[in-house]
Amino acid sequence: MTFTKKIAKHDKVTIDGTDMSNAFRSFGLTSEANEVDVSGFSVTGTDESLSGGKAQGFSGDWFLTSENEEFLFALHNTDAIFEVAWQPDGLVDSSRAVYHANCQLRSFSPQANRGDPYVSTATFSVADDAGITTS
Amino acid sequence: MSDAYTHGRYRVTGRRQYRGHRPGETFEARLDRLAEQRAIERGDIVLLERIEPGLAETTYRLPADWPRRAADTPANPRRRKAPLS
Repeated sequence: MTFTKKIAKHDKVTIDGTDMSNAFRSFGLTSEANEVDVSGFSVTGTDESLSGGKAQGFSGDWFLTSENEEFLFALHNTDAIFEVAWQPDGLVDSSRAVYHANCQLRSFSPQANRGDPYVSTATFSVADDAGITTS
Repeated sequence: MSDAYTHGRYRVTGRRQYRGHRPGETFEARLDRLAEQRAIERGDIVLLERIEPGLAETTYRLPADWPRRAADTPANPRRRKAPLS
């Protein structure tokens, strides 16, 4: 099997149906299950654990432009639940898997550093029990 | 139809694609009412026409043997007895 390695330049990011690919310079998802200790008395004394509740979401660094600020602040300020979709290399390869979920933008904290490009981080938290799915 | 969704014909305005449709394209879709409202408010789409999906009575015809009423269809049709050999 050949694994095609690529440089990340063509990811497709869709927020609330709108193509926001060019607004982001990084994007990704996190899915982490809590570790729940279920250790019992045993000969070996080895700890045992199972997966508990799972926290999922997307995050990315976006460029602060007037239209991007307006776009994301409206979603945050109205506590809207909207679809977020991320397709690695999706702008040039439509066969790649799409990761999507209904999310909220619960924090909005744009910042400016003198001399640096206007970039800020957005974190989208999954808002329903379907979680992140792929298609 | 659920009030949470709305059906219409839209045109993509602005400079970004909306649900895979390029700026200037027209598409018909059933959208979440709140998602439609947000997209229109930020200028991504404009509503051209609200559509109420349905069938006009004159556009279809049922098969000839279609029961007119549920009461006309027996629940347990009587089976003919096999002839004695």
